[in-house]
Amino acid sequence: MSEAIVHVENLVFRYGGTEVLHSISFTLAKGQIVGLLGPNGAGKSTTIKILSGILSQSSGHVAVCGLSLPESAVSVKERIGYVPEAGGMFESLSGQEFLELSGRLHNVEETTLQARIKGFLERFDLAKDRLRQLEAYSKGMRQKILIGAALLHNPQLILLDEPLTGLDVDAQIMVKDLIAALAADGKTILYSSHVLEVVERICDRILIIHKGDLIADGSIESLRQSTQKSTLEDVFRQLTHKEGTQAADMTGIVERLRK
Amino acid sequence: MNSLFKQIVDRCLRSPEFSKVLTSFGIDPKRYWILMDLFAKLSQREEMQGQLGRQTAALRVSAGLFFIASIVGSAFMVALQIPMRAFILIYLSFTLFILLGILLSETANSLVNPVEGLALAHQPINGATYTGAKLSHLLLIVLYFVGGLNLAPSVAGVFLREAPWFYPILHFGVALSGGLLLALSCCGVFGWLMRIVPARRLKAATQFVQAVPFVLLMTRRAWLPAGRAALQSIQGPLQFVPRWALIAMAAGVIGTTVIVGLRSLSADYLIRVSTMVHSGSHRKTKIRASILGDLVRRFFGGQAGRAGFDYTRRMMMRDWQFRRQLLSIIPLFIFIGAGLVNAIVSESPSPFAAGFSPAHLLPHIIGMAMLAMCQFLQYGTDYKGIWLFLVVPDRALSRFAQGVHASLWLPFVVIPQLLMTGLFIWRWGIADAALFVIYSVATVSIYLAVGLRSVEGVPFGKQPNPGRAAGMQFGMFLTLLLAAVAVGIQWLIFRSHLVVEVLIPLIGVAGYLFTRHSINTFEVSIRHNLALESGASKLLYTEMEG
Repeated sequence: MSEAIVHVENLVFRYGGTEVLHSISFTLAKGQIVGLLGPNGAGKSTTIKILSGILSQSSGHVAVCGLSLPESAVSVKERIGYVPEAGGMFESLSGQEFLELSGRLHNVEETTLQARIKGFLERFDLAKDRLRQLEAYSKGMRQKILIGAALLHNPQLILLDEPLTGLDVDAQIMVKDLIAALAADGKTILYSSHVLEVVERICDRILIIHKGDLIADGSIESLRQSTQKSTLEDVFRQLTHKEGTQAADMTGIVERLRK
Repeated sequence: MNSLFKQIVDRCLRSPEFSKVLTSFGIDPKRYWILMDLFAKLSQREEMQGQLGRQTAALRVSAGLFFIASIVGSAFMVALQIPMRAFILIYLSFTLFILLGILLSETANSLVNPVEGLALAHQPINGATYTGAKLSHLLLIVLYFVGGLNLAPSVAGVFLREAPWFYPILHFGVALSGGLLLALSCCGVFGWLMRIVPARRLKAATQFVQAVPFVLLMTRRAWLPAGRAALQSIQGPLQFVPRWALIAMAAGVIGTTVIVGLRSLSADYLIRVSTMVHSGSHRKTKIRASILGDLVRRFFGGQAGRAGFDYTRRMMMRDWQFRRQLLSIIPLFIFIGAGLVNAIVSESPSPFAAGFSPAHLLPHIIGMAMLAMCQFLQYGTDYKGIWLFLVVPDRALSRFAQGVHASLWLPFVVIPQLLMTGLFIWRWGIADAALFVIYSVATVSIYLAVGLRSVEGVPFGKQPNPGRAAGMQFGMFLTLLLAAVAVGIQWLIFRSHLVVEVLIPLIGVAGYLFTRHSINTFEVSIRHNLALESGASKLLYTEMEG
């Protein structure tokens, strides 16, 4: 097995009296694209925030790029790129200024930084809007800026929390190609999403978290075989016990609206 | 000239020598200046308005007001030739008292509500660098307030009989050192809180800490004698220790406590940011049947009225910015109000008897508190959430405005005064008590109506703005003068029972009509501000898309 970039062992996270993650363990190897799936509130974003050093685990061992968390949070943050689910941004900064801020905080040398920003803005068709303030950007444009900010310092591990939200079809294809290219370059990618078709197409391996437990870890093929289902959606439904429940609930809601 | 001075200061601060100083505190100079430039840019573009130290216009207004007041005060004291020691002590105490309230509130807001921290939490910044950049604005607060309060007295003090020639330097130096020490101590206190209190409880804990100095001041009669006795009891064993050693010991203990507190801030601050900002998100709320809510639905505008009532009531209980601002003044009003009620119950004659009664002040104290509350009502932490009101049917907004008014009028104007009616009947008899309560409710309602006119837009729908708070100080001072005039007129009216009986129904009707007009004005303000938000800013749209 190749070099482990992420090593998580018996990770527990509590918020107040509530245990959000129950002793989960997994390892991510260099160059892997791993899909992180789970229903809303399962603990996906919490896991990603712990790996990015934003939250500190309650117990268990977490190491990223060989550095323990939370002790080496600053060093870990220098080595990772993180695209948050609900990206907090400074609305009054322009796209160019936001990218410069992120690059400079990651200590990217100025000439290299400007070259990377220029290339990125052109590739994502944002060059003409680079001086507009972010509050005037559409959701998709903001998402592109967040993806750019996460990549400017050439990180070893990329954590993507719903990165395709708000992107148009062209941009989605571009991001998917970018993910494949980054993985080919040896980057490790943890990709959290609800869009199962995309995950099925681009990921080598799937982790499924449900109610704070890691209930599945394997390649798509192995998950299909073990559950005897043909699509990832069916695999997901079976593992998270959601089959048949949604249609019944929706009928109930419409009936209540009629009353 | 000003710009040249700024350039020189900037060059000195960004020099390699100063970088070495920053590094010795664990601060990364490069990232520190990136953050400082970022915060300055965000303040200049009005995205980060919640920090007084970055609002130079507001600082100048406050410092200017204090400067004028200190000229009058120091001229008066110099004319009286009070002892130099008393002169310097008065100004030092006043400076530290004013700074304590401001610094506690500002430090709490900077550290415990780091909204911008969410956008920076995944960046490679250590705690010392981030907190250092966040708290640098406290230094400007100290400089402006110490300057405003002490510049005139330090010059005027030379004319005191015992003052040496270097008195201005001595006075200003002592005040500035005191202010800086206080700022460091405030940061130290919050550092200790971060060390001891879990991140999700920090907001509640800091609000408690903010209230402590005021509560201690107001309750000094209860604890001061016991404190003195305790000090006297340890004086015996300590009498053989030299005074310098005692001072050195005290300074050592305080210094160590502050340093340990400051070090706690720099440890793992950014890891706590996410939990701090989202604290409360896991807290479960209870759904209770609300009698008041039903009353509001029935009499104050139906379901939309109830929506306004519940929204305002719940946000007043939960919004960090509202609670933080209210804490800076409400303890004062509570203690004054309680003192007045105590005076009324224990010794006061009927307010309609000859002479002055503490009861004469009661409606005006409650009224001033209502005015202050209305000033704070427009600012909130989750101000971007007002996009919801853009999609509300137009006709619902007038009822919503009625509901907002009811959320202030019922629990803060009507119910407390009805509760006090029993006490008043016991002291003054039914007729006088009933007359006074009707008069008081009508008067406070007028104050509330005035306050409601100053609320711009949907409550809790604006970003906190310390610049407005500085203007508010001046406004409250003017209102205080007007209230004093009103108390004088009221005293004249109360001398005749007949005039009172004729005037009170008129005041009641005037209060009702003025309130209705104010609610209409408030509704127009809500519509106007929503139109401005939807037209001028894309923020709301991006929130809606999100």
